[in-house]
Amino acid sequence: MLTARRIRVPARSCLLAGQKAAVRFDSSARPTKGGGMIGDRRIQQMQEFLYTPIQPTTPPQENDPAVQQQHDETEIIERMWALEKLEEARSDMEALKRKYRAMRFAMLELEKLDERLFAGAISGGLADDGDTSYVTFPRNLRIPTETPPLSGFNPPADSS
Amino acid sequence: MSFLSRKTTKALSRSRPSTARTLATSAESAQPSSANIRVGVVLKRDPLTLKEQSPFTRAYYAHRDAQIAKTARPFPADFYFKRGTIAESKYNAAVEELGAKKEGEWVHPFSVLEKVGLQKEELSGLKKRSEVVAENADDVKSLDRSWSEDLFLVVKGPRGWQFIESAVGPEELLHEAASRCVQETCGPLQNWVVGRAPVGHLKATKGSETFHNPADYFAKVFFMRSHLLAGQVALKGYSDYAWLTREQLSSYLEKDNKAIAIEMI
Repeated sequence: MLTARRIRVPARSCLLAGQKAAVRFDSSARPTKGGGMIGDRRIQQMQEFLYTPIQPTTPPQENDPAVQQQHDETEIIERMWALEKLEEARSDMEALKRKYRAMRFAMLELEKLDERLFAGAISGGLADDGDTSYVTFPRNLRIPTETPPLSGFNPPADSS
Repeated sequence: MSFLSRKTTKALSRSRPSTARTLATSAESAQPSSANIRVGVVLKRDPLTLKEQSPFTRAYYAHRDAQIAKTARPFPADFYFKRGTIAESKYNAAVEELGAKKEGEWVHPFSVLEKVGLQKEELSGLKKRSEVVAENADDVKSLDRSWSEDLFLVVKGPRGWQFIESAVGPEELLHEAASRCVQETCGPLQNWVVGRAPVGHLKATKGSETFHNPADYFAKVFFMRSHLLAGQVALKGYSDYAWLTREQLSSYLEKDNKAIAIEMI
């Protein structure tokens, strides 16, 4: 579980060897007055970012009641979230079952009533007549986004 | 299907439609003519924005972001902003304004960008849009409202408020009849009929109050689902129309219309 620790990145001196290696392979490297070499610091920064492990600055505090309370709070929050997700999944499944049931009964009724229409309704997938316009989604079927379109539902008249 | 209960599956399997159909002679099949079969269309404008998050969801995501931020590396500002540039001084000013110079405080880069004003135009456009939407909230004919909900088209017809419908031609299939029904009733509207199978059906039962016209007593209506892509209704053949959310549908529709709507949408 996560605890309240500050993150410390190791001191630059630990990376001196790496720094020197980076500078050696950098074409823009140039000598400084003090006798060292400087190059593009971003290579060194990238190496630090990618290869140095995150180490906590404080030792683990297992017997601290404040830390234990934090653990408990986080656990309760996670369980409440799991419950929320479970309820959401249940209601989605109920809606799906309801719609499927309505569709199924409609098809059963259609089969009893009209053979031609029933045959037309069950010919899913690639149709015999070559018409696949109903199989693929149209390009302008818009999916919901976080922010609405600025022009509203009906686009301006001059847009195609 | 796996997500139906065992009882329902057993009940349905007793009258399972056979997949291998042989041609039935006219003497064997005593089926009523398709003249009484009508097609209805559940025309829907899809939601344009995601559903609004509940306060608990928002709080949970904020909590999770804070947990991640506690153990994440600090934002490497010196990588993105070169020392001595104007961009760096702008960034530092924004961070100071947000009061995040304290040790261990983590500032999301996007909040800094907002402060710097890179999204001003977009934000003001969105504000105007939300004002328009708020104005249209009670206008049931407007499509520019209720961003995060479905809007269903209902019309005032012989059965009260109902979905649009029409007869099925002798050579037509249901999805073709549905397309034609939308064009005839709503004018030149861009829509997309989903698949070939009906999503629900309505049939008159003895003593049903839904079908007022005696000629409709034995009519069966099979509904097809359709998505509205663009355009607005130019109504023909009915006296009035409305675009209703799910909650409003239950107050407008009555009796059998309401029952089947709740089941299939």
